Amino acid sequence: MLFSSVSFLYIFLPIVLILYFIVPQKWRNGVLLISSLLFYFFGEPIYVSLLIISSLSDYFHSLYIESHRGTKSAKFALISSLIVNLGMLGFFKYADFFLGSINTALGINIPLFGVELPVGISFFTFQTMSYTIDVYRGKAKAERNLASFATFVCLFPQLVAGPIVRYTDISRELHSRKETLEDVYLGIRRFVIGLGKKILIANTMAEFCAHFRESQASVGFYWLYAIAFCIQAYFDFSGYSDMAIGIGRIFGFRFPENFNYPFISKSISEFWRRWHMTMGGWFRDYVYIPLGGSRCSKGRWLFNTCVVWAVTGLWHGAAWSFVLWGLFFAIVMVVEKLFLGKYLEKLPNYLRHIYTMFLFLVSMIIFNAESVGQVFSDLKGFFGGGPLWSADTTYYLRDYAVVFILGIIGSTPLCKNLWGKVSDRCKVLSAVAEPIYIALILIAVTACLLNGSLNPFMYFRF
Amino acid sequence: MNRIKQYAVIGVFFLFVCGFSLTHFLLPDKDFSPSERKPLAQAPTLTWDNIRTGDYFADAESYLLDQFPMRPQFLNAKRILDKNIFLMSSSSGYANAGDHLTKITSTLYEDQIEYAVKLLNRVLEGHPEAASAYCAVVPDKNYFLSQVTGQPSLDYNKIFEMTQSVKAEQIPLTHLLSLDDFYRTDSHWRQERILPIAEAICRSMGVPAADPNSYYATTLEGFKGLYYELTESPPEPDTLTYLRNEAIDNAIVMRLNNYGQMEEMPMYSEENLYNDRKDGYDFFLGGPESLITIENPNAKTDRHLILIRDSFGSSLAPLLTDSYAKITILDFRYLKTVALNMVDVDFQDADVLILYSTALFNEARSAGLG
Repeated sequence: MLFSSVSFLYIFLPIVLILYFIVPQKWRNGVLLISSLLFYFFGEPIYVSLLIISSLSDYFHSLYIESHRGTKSAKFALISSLIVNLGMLGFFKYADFFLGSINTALGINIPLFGVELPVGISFFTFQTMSYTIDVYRGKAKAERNLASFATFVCLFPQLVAGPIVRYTDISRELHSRKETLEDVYLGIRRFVIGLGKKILIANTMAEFCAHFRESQASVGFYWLYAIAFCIQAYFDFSGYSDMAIGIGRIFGFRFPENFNYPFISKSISEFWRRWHMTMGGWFRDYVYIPLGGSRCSKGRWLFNTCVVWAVTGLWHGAAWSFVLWGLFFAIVMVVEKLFLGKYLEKLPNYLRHIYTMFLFLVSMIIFNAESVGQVFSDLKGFFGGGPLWSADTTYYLRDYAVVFILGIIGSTPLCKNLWGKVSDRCKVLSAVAEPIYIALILIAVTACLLNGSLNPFMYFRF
Repeated sequence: MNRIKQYAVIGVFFLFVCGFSLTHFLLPDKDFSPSERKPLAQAPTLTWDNIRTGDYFADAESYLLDQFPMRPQFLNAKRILDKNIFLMSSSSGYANAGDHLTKITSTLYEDQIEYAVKLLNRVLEGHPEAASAYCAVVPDKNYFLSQVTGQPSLDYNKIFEMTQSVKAEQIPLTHLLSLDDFYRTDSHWRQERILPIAEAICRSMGVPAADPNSYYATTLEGFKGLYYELTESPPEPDTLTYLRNEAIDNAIVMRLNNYGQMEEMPMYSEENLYNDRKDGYDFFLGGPESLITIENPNAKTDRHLILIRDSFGSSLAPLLTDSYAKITILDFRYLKTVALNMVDVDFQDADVLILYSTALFNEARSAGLG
């Protein structure tokens, strides 16, 4: 089930919200657990079993780890838990990719499994692995209550596309939380704004990207496509995160933030401290630092950086183009750290922004290519391998200009800051305007949904 | 004030979401949408198989979308959003282009064109007893519109080039047409403007065309074409002018019904023009029909024409009534070629005319050609 669907907005969500707030406090986790399992079941009737397996596996493994803390058994239990989770992820997401690569490399024909990717598997396996590792490290106490633990694993707001919520982020709220009027208000506002970002901006930019693939190419069109895809990626993913955080807030949970206006960054290093922050934090704490991080020899640090970024790329998709994408950032980060960083700091801010956004544009061309071959042909087109402009470029630029402008402005803190100042100075205007714009966004979003616009979340394929 | 704002936002959200949700369940389901001219999805049946495969949930979503309260108003809101807020020239691909309404199509599907060409050649090769074979490709309205508005369009040169592979004598039509020969609110050509087309086709096939002065025209108001309801600011409806003469009036028109029997039908049907559940263009020869015959015992020749056509053929076929004693009209979207030998179509000594638009060639497989 998608957040941006009629069945979620007009059937599932109102029923769950009403049920949640009318049952006694002690039953509310139960409502969340059952509704979360149903949420996943509606999209993946068979694979809901994987959620249950993951929950049971890490629940029992963590109890064992805690009761045998400091012994070799605890370590074996941790390894066993990781094998279960990584095994699931490896089989469903990567088995056919690796088999296909072996077939291509060796010219053989091992039959592929042909399994479908369960929605959100990259998110919920990472979530449960972080829990078991934190219990092993002593950072978290093992959850004794299976229902509470399962609620954490299956919680529908962030189940299928993040943010990656660690157990320690919400353990207190799992057992004792208070839903306030302010939480409900802020949650609803955040959710609706996220919905608007996804449906009105991200989906429209996705249309532009589709037109690009069908049209007469030009260098100009390649650049516009790269910008459109950056806007699409940001609004799609941050919009979904807003929706997840908003719904969580309604239920009294404070999920971690996932985006912090990455397009205002002045270096790629800063960019990745603002983009998909929960994933970055996960790889930092559970891969980069255990490998040694930067507290090692330069050679080892280079190796660690490349491994983390290759794995980050692979996490985004089972294809070599994603690995290429990850390694692109590894190279940039290394160059920034070793050499470029100190020169960047001396440049005026606007040049640093241009540098950062240019590199991100290039990375998004790599990210969105369907194959390694297309990566190179797209980069060639981007860097001038073709006519500079075309009639189709003019037509589509004119058609989508307003959405480009809205996307660029909306990706900066400008609107938020402006609205904050207006709200502070004129509370009456704010009190009148907010319900109106919430209603307008709901009308516009519903109109788009009924129109059958292209709708699946980009990060759903993870 | 803060509290008031919080209550207002929460209230608006719940009112909107719960209000539409409740209305959805209270209102009876509709079976057809006149504005979209499509049947609306009904509530799916709940079975374990449907649930296991995920079909139930996909069907349920389609049902909820189709039966959503105020659906036409929301669809119009989307057009207003696209055209008036985002300042786009089109919404979901439907555009106002000058006076005309159209759907912008620019993706060339070469594989589908090849598929159509192969299918037609298979039919022609399967009937060597036919006297002759001709192919006339109708450029769709966007061919002319794109020259005026600069909108993206298909690579028509490529389509014309690929359709040369149909093993039939080509009858070029493009030079005989202009934008004015098409309806403003529909994709089709106007019957009263295609007499030169009928003449050119007859000349190529070696049959005498009807005397243009033999026709008398009748004009009907209120023709709301295919695109009429798909824009937020529709222009005035078109007028539909149709041509009649003695041959057309006296011709016997039969169609193949769902029981495999031939039954009589009118050449023109005013009932279809004003029927909300049909395209107005179905006025001509009833619209989507698998097999039609037109017999004119007083025709100028005793020859037989087999017209393999898409919807453009519906308004052209009556104009060939004078020239052929019998016209058999086949639509391979509704009568698959594999079933051709099950219907009584005699290719012996017949002229075969393929009349397909560029739009159909480009989406032959998707359109159901088979």
